[in-house]
Amino acid sequence: MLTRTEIFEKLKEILLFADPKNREMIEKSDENTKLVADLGFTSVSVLYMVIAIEESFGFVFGDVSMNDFPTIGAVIDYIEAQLK
Amino acid sequence: MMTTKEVFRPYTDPEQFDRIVEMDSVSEMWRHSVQNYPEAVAISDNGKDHTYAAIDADVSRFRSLIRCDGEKPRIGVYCPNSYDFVRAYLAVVTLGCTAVILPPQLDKMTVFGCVMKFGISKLICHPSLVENTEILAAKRPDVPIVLSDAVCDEITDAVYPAADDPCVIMFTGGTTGKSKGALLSNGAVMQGTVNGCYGYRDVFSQRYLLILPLTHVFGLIRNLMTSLYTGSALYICRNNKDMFRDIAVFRPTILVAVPALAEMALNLSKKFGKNMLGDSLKAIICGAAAVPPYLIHEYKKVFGITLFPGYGLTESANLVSGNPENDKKPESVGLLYPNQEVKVVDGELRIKGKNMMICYIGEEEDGVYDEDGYFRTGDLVRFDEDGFLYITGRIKEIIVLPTGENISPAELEVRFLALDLIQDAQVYEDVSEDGSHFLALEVVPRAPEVAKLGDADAAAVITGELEKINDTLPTEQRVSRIIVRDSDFERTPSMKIKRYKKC
Repeated sequence: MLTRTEIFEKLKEILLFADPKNREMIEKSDENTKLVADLGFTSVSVLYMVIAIEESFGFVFGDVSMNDFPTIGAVIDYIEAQLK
Repeated sequence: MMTTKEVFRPYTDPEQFDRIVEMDSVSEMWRHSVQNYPEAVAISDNGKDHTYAAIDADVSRFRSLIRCDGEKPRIGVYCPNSYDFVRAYLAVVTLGCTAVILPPQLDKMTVFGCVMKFGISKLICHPSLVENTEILAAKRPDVPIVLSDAVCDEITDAVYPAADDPCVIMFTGGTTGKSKGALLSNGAVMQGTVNGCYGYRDVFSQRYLLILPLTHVFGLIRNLMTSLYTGSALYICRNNKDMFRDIAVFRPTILVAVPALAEMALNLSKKFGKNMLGDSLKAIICGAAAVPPYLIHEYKKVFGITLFPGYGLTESANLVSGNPENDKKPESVGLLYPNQEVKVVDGELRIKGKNMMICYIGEEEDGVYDEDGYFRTGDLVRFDEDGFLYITGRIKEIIVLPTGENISPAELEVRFLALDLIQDAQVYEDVSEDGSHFLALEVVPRAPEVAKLGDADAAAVITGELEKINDTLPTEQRVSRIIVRDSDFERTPSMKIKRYKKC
């Protein structure tokens, strides 16, 4: 079972992949960073992130809306719950 | 210049090319497809396959729920991508009525506003969107709301409109950015539908995946209508996050996509070391935004998939041109499709033809057409010696330098975007401390290509490559400052780069 810190590091890699144009902001991000308001994530970068998380962590997202993931912390919560 | 279909003959299987025939109305097209492919699957949605014959029977019954004897009103279609959308749309237009396509993301006040603005006399609403019709139901009880999953035993026959009769109203920002509806005739919708058949080898009985919204002409006409016209099967992907799982199950042969999605699929495939688009995919029809040549080359090289760029407008019932020579001329949006008369005035493309809209609905606007009745696209273009079209910019983005020189930023950006290292670029006019005006360039690097540089100073390498290109430009078009960004440009809600206005 991955620790929360390990999940965050892996997620950061995914975020960088999903939106490489915002490397500086992503590298400085923490659990309170907002995906849309702070990182400027778009529908396409969110889609990148979801698919890359599924491929990397080996689970399938349910019918969740992006409004369910206002922050990076919320994404980590979801990944943790799925890995349990 | 009048265009013809014959220029596309060399690119399509000869037997199939001769089967591409023009039709006047969606009703005529639908009857033809039902007669020719009755048992073939037309739509696959939510785990269920619907054949052409079964849909026809279903549409015949649904027409009974919405018919208005003696009238041909405008009927709103307010549904997400689904089989219900397809049935509702076909029922409305084969009844000779005009379908007003309402995006599912509209809120309740906007739904009410659209009903008033477009003169909608009935609304077909998906059950998931019913709560957004509350204001409409309260303020206009005379406008019936029909649920898209309603059933009926009675059959109502199709009506066969003329080519000039109205067919759909589609939302558009127009060429000026003000939101309005473009009214398209049956003939225009069918021309747009048939245009989707030109420029590639295997046209009929294909397998299409739908990931674009049906509320956009690229989704409605190039994806749904061309699929139905060619006896193909259309798999409706209800949630784009499931796109790659759906592809693995359905194994599409043609994908219609915007460049951002095509680039995403390419990057994901590279990252996870597998072709996420599946082994059956042969072609990606790419449009609605500029297609980087990098994508065309990478898809061919990595997966053997041909990516076809095209150019179109809502006002032209989707595609005006498509590029069958994408490998040789990747910067071009291709050859003009048939039945259009075009001219270029002061660099602007102007079009007349069967595919062009009847008019805008909801907003009066001057200057939509020129004195000869040609639609003014607002796009700056050029043609090469083989008749291939290139978009070089937008009229409203032209920079007029103090020397009087007219500079189209998009035309220059294309030159810099030819570098694989560059994902996005913006050329703009800036002013120095001493008050002199000059051209500047900012670029956003393409991360996977930058990664290939290893430990090298990426910004220095990129600047060096950009300077080499800059040196090849005519003196007055050269940029005087180059900035390599480490963050994206600010974007509009439709994901276009927000252009700088520094002067």
